[in-house]
Amino acid sequence: MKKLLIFLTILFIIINFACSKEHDPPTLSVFKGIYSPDSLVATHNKIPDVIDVTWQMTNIENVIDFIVSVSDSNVFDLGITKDFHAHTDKDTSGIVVNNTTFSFVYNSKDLNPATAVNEKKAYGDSLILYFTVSALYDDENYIMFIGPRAVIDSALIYRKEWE
Amino acid sequence: MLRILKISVLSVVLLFSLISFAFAQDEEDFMREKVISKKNAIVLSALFPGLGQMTKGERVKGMTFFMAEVASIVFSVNAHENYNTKLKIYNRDIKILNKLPSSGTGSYYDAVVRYKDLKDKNDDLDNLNAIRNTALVVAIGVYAFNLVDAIIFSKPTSESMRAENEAKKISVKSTYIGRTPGLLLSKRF
Repeated sequence: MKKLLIFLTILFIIINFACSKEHDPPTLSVFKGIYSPDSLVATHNKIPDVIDVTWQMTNIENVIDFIVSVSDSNVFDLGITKDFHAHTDKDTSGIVVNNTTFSFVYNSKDLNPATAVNEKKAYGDSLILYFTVSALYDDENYIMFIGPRAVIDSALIYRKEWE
Repeated sequence: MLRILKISVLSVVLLFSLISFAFAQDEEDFMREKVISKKNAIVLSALFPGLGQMTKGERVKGMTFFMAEVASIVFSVNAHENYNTKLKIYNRDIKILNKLPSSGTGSYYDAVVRYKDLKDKNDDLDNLNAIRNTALVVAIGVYAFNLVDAIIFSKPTSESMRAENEAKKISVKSTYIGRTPGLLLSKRF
């Protein structure tokens, strides 16, 4: 019995060595050199009726634009979402330059499609919208690639103000 | 899925055909004076685990070897086929993930979703690989143990000895006593 156990152990080692797995675990190593914006803050100003979205990003190499996304759900992608291109300072090749703090202001009426569900559900005279922002990369490695998202921030919006 | 079904069905057919063959031979040659040598038992056991033992009359042991071997081979082949099928899909998805930055429409969010899916698939492949290898070890182990059993523990037996052994057991048969149907309880001493 002892010999049989030794035999089986040796057999197990040999087979595990010979029939080794032919796959490697996945990695995100190809996505090096891209960063997410941080310090995202979204605030609603009653007068004038606008939402001010600001964020910071220190490493803006190969960033050509930012994409601000808005959702009506705290589970961001399960809600109705809408994307906006931010207008930032760019050089002649379209690369974002010399900015570490960005501000993106737009009229809250633009968010009507995103808030349709909230209106139907009659949430009252206010609602919460959720914002995030991503850098848009374009270089030899990334072709119009939307980078990692910033940490989501929410803004309380008074519906009466823009009806 | 179809391939797994085919393998399972073929295995079951093979199993039943071999079992019926073993038992049919046993009934037909029941009274034939045929010595089953140790060498023959070893050859049969080498052909497929359990055959030698079954031919010698050690049915329980033989069937145990036989079933264990068939089950482990089926498990191993099934896991191997599953592994290969899923590996193709996994490699395809890995390529898609790696090409995402240069696709022109990709986003890091999509990449993370794909990455999580690939991690699940990777775990699945790891499990299949472990099942495949373990079943193969069991199959080879059963085969080796069956050979050791045939070589070391087997003794030459004959069909007539087996018949005698069978006859020594108490048997119950339905019979007629005169014109009245009854039961006959017999035992040879």
